[in-house]
Amino acid sequence: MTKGHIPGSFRDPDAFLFDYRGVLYRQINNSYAQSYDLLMRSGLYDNLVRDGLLIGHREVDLSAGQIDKAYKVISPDKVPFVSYPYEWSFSQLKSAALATLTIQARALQFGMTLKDASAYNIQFVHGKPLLIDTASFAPYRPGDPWVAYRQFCGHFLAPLALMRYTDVRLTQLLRVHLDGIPLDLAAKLLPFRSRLNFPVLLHLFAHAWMQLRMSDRTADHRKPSGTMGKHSLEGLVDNLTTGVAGLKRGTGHSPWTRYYADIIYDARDLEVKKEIVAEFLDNTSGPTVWDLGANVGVFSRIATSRGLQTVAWDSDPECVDANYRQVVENKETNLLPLVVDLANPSPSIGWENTERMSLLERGPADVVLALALVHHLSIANNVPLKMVAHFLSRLCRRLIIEFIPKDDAGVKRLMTVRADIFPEYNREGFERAFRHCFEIVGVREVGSSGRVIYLMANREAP
Amino acid sequence: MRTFILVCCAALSAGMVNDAHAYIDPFVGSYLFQVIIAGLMALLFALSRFRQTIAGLFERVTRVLNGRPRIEDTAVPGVFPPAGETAPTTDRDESRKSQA
Repeated sequence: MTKGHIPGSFRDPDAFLFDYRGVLYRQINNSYAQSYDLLMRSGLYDNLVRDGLLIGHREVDLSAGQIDKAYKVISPDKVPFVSYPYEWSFSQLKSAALATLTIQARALQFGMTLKDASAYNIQFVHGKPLLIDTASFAPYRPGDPWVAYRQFCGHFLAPLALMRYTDVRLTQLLRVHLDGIPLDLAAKLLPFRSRLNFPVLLHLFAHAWMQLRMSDRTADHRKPSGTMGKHSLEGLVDNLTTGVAGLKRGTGHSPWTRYYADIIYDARDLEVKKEIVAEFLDNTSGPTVWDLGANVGVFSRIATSRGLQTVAWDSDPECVDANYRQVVENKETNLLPLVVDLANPSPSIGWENTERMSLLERGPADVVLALALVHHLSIANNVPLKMVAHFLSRLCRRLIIEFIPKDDAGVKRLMTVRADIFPEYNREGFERAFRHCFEIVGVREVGSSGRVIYLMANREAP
Repeated sequence: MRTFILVCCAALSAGMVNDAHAYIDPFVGSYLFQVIIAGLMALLFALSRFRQTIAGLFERVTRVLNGRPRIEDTAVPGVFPPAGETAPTTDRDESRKSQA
């Protein structure tokens, strides 16, 4: 009977997450008793859970926790897949920011406030951002400013402004700065025109300037004086909401967002490919699918239409954003688009390299779709086919994978200016490499395109 | 007035945001910053509320004149219904079952 602490929840002295017999629990410590009771009795919990803003939970037997410190042990609703802010697109981060501000505004109405505004406390569940940390609330004390203001600006406002005004890829700074992008760094990277946006000027530039100006005053060890009325605090949240809502994404175009419009093979072959993927998916079991190199999610939706919980990974933030906007527009509940570079996937980071899980630690999925992907890894990134097979075998139990021959227009484009140093890159070499880790269960040719799709079973994870 | 001065300083301080140092708790600056801008935030909030009230009044009048139904919540990312209104439901019982 082991009770494993979840590494990401050690910072909060009021509560922590632990795993007990494969089920996730959160222990509420005695130090948080008053706040927890206020959350539950004030009506805030019911209000937020009803509107899909806070994760629901049920109280369970105390014996599951550490009895000496435990006030309550709760079992939160299941989060299908844990993702991190550096894997979100602009619209996802914006949705998470607005959800956080909505929760803070509601909390103030119920006499509470958010003591944390970490982007890691938000997860996408059923296509919507959801606060998963029940112990994030504290009673509102009249006169107090928002204790999580700096955290909100670093976790949400700074990356959103950088993505809007500088480059959408700067979201990756969150991978280095786990407690949010330092405001002085964001101020240095933003162009001058971003100062014409008043909320950005105020909450980012002026805020950063003030932080640095106050830095020499910390020597006197006195708690800063001054108060902030509730009306002002509500105004702060309202102004941040206006600022975040006003940040529009960029052009939204990249070479990959038009992939299916500029498709380089016959449209009939695309339909054949969809039929093959559907047939192979029907011959697999298990509820989870990862679509690697998902683009805007055309094939991911074949999986979701079968009720499968699907994560659509792509390295292009604009594709992921377009995919997420479709999820929101169609109210899709079982598709989560995320950004990942498979040649450099999300690592284990944070304290002792365990706070945030790597891509591999969050698998394996029951099924991986790797369609029109292998040539990008093998030819564009020089990864030998055998190593591609080994990597994919660590990610899934069943694999639906497409092989694209060298005479395909897409592969030819990749090899326009590079020497052909890939003698093993052919159908025989592909099958030989993958047979080390997988058993080939099914093979289908995609019309007249020369492309081949395989259904494979992992030899080590039946 | 102090907020105005602060904002002007920030606007004109291009390239003047210096390196941060160790032993600095950024909370101190954030705390004082909120205290300084409190008045401005209250003023902007009051103006925002006033504008919303006027806009709501116009919307109601227009709706009555045109006989149109109320436009319900849309699927704009991150926009949530205000407290007290019904939101889309999620099947939490199902997720509990799967967890058990």
